[in-house]
Amino acid sequence: MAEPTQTVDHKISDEDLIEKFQRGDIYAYELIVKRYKDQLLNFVYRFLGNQEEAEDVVQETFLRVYRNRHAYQRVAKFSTWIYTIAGNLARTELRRRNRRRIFSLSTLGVEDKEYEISDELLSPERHTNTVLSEEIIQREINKLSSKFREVIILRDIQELSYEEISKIIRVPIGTVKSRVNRARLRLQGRLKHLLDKNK
Amino acid sequence: MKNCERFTQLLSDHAENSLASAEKRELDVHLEQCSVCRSAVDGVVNLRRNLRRLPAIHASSDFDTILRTRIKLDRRAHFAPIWNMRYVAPRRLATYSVAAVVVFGCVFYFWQRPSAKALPPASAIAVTQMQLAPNGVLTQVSPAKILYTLDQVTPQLWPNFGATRKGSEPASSPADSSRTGPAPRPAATPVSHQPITF
Repeated sequence: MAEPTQTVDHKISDEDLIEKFQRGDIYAYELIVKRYKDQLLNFVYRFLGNQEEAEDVVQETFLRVYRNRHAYQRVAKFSTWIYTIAGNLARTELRRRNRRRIFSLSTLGVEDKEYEISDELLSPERHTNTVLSEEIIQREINKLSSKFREVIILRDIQELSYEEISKIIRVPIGTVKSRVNRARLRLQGRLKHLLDKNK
Repeated sequence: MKNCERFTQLLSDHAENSLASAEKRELDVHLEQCSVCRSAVDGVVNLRRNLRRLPAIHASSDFDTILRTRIKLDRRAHFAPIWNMRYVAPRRLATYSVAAVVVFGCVFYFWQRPSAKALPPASAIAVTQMQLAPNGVLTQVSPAKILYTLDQVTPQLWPNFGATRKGSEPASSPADSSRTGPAPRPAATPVSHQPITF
């Protein structure tokens, strides 16, 4: 087996990285984790509404990537592949949670949020308003059904293309567009008061 | 209102500036007249802006350490021998235990059960004995031959057998059994060969 070489190139494509990892380069895997952990965490967190569960799902996603690295073939984009894994795991987690019936909206309280806000420094008043707005938006996202929630997160928060979303959730592009449109209309109807205030 | 329903489907594309020019022109004309649709378009544009502004969250500082540990444990579990219970998941362990009990149960059952060959069915014994009598040679009678053999041998050993059949001749005496060689087939009689069931 060829001696694994340390991957230092930060411009290297995801597909090249996973190929290197398939050949045994563990540093390539670490780069993949570094590139995708926050992206996936944001996606799964917005989908589940709980950071702890989201981290667990993202870790499981990377573990699956590690375990099934040889299942990836270059015909698909790596980002599509990893988002599909994360989306499937997040949906499974949501179903499990619904089965246990321990989920309640009260768990989305402000005191449970431990994430950092990456925006510039805000005044305390503005910060409180932002956190409240964010909390309300997240709560309304959670009220959407999972098929609407997933597409609106991927499109409007993750800013993926319709084509990529269509590959990730394995539905036609037309269906994705229709779901995004319906999800947006539903959400904007529910958040009308807040959106008017934040204009 | 009918127009509104039609244009509602285009609102997202309009908000993303991805409408074809003809459709865009048509929708702009409609929006000038319809305040409900105008408000919906504004709402969608505003919603997208707010969703993009949502703060990004970052993985906790121990994310990488936990991931490395999980990978290490996973690799150990993958390569660990089955008797190394430390790394066998409880559910998998329970499955192995149940499978082992079932396998041992099956083996014990078949081992203890009397062999099917030890005791042949009563009908087979009778046929074998009847065939032994004329020539004294022990031959294995296959189940396929049993009916034929019974038909051939019975008239000598079972004198009244023929009497039970309508129109058949009396069977030959048992003394004929002293002959060597195979028992002769009874004379051709218009016997209707009914299937004999045991």
